[in-house]
Amino acid sequence: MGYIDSLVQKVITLLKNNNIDITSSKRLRVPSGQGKTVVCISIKDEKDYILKIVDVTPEIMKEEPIEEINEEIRNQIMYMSIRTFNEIEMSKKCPNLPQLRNIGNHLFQYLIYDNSAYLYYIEEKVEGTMFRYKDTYTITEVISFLEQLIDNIRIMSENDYVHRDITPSNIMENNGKYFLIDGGIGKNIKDGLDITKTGTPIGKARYLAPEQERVTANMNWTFQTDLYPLGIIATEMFIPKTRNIPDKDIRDIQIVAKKWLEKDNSYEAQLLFKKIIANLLNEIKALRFNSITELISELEKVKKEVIK
Amino acid sequence: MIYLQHGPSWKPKTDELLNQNLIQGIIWDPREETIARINKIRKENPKYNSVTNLIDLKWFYKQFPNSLMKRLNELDYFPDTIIDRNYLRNIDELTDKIRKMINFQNSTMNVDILIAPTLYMSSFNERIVDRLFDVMDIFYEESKPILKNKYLSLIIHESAFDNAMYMKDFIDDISNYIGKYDGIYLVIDRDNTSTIRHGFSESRLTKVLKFIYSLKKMQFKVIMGYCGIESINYMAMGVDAITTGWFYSLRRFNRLEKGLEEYSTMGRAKKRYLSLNLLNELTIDENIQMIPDAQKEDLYKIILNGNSIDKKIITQSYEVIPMNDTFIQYFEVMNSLSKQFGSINEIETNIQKLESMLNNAILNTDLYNEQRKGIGSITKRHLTDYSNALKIFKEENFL
Repeated sequence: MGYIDSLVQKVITLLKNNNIDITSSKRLRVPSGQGKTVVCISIKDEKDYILKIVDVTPEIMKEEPIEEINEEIRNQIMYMSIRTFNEIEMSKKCPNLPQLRNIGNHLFQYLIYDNSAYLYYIEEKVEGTMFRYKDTYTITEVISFLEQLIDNIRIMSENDYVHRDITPSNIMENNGKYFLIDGGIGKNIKDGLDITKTGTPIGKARYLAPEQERVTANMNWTFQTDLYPLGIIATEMFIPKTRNIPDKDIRDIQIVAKKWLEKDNSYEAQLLFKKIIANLLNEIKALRFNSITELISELEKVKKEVIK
Repeated sequence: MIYLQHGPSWKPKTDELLNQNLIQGIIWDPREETIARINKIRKENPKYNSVTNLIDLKWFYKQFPNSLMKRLNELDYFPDTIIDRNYLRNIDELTDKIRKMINFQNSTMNVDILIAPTLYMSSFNERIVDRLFDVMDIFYEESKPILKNKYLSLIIHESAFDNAMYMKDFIDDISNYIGKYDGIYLVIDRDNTSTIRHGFSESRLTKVLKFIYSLKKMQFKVIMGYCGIESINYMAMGVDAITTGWFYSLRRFNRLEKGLEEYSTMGRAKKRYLSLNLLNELTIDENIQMIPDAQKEDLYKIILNGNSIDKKIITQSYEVIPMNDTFIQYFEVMNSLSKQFGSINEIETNIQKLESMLNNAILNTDLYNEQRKGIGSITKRHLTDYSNALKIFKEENFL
C-alpha cells in the first residue's frame, strides 16, 4: 500500500470514529495544484460524497521531524489552510457550489500523519464530468451555457462572492447542465481579507480578467470580473479555431470579432457577439454590464431573436 | 437638454432664452460676473431658478501662470499661489479650499448640482492626473453630508484622445467613482488649428465618442460643456445635456481664447443661421440673402427651418436683423435636435438617426453648392468628419 493509500485509510478510520460509515472508496485522479487528494466515498444509507484531503504541511515540518505541535507550527498550518478555508466558507455561502457535509460538528478536520499536516473535508458529489469542449456548438447551445453560468455568478454575487477563477477546468457538465466548482480563490467582496497578494495575478492567465493582472490593495471586486472568462470560454466554444490561439490573441476583441464573423456572420451570430460577447470581453470591468439583471435581460432578448 | 453656457453680455439674452423656454439649465461662469449680481438677478426673476443651476468653478485657471483671472481672484477657494503638483501635495490646504468650494456652491450660490473642481489635463497620463483623483476623493468625502447630486468635472485637451491606451486606463480609473458621483461635466479644449468652423478630426472625434459612450455605459449623467453643432454627435451618444452659448467662444472651448494663455481676440461676429437640413451655420448675408432671386425659392426650402427669424431673413436687410434674434434661432434649433435625440434610449437608433441626418445634410450641401456655382459655397467637411467618425466608432464598438 502506497503512502497516499495509507493516508486515505487513516482518514477513513477517523471518519468512522465520527460515525461516518464509509462502505466503499475510490481515489480519483484529478488535476490539482494544491496537493489535494480526492476520493469518491459511499456512506452507508447516504448518497456518494467526495472526500478531499489537502496537504497543509508547513515548511518547518518538512525540515525536521516534529515531536509536538506548538503554537507556532499550529499557526503555520492555519496559514497553509487559508485557501481551503476560503473554499469551505464560499461553499457555505453559495448554494450553487458543491455543499459540504459535516464531520461531527465541524465542516473539516485536521490530521497529523507521518510528520505532515492534512486538512480533510467531505463535499457533496456532483453528477457530471469536467467540462471539455466538443467539436462544435450551436448559437443556442452557447446561449444556454451562458445562461447557466451567469446564473451561477448571480448566486455568488447575491451572496457577496466573486469566483475569480472561472476556467473550463472549474466547470462541471452533466447532460447539457453546467455549473461552477472550486471557489478556492473566491473573494468575499464585503470583507477585507484576500488570500491573494497585491500585485500578484491569480487564476489561469488565458481566462483572467484584465484587472486581475494588476490587483491592487483597494481593488473593488464585483461580479464583472467573473464575466470576462465567460466571454473567452463562449468564444472558444463557438469558434473551435480559437481554442489553440495564443492568449494575447483571444484576449484581443478585434481579433475575436474577426474570427467570430468568419465562422458565422448570420444575423443571430452577430447579435450574440455584439450584444453579449463584446461586452463580456470589454477590457474595462465597469463596461461589461452594470448588473447581472441587465446581462440576463440582454441575453434573453438575444435568445428570443435567435429562436425566432 | 440644452444648458446655457454663461458668458459675457448675458442678461438680456438669458432672460429671452428663459422666456422662450429654450434652456433647461445654466452653468454660471464666476470669471465673467460677480456672484452678487448673479444672485441678485436670480432672486429678482424666478425663471432663473426654474431651470437647473450649476457653477463652473474654473479652478484650473490657477494652473496657468499667465492666465487672465478676471473676477476669479475675488473668490476664496482660489489659492494665492499657482496650482501645481507641489501645491496639491498639501492636503490640509487642499481640503480647506475644497470645503470653501462646497460652501460656495451649496450656500452662496445654492446650486442644484455640486461640481467637483478639476485640473486641466493635456494628456490622460499626466502626473497631475493622480492629484486630480485626490481632489475628487476629498470633494466626495467633504460633500457627503450634502444631499444634492454631485458631478465630477473634467477639462481635457482634444489631443489627449490620440492615445487610446491612456484613455482606456483613465476610463478604468473613473469607474472607481461610480456610485460616488452622479455625473460628469466634461469640457474638451479644442484645437484652434482647423480653419473649418465645425470641423473635428475624425480620429479624435471617434475617441471622444468612445469616451462619452463609456461614461454613459457606466451610468453617469453627462453634461458636455462649451458645445456647438458638433454636439449632435454627443446627443447621439445619449448625453444628458449639452451646454452652449451665443458667442463662438461659448460653443467651443479653446485655452487661448478662454484666457488661459495670452491671446488677442477675434473680430466682430457675423450673423448666422443654423440650418437643420444643412447642419451648418450659414452667414445670413453671403450664404442666404445674396442668393440670386431665381434660386431663392429652391434654396430657401433647403436652408430655412421655419424658425421665428425666417420672415426677417426673407424680408429685411442684414443690417436690421437683430443679432440676438440669431442667437435665439440657434437655441431653437439646438432644442429641436436635443428633443429628437433625447426621446430615444437605444444608442443604435440614435446613431442611425444621426447618420441619416448627416447624409441628408451632405446631399443638401452638394445641392446648395451646385446651385451657387462656387459663389458663397459652404463646407461639408465637418459633416464628413462626423460621418466618418461615427462609422469608425460603430465598427470599433460593435454597434
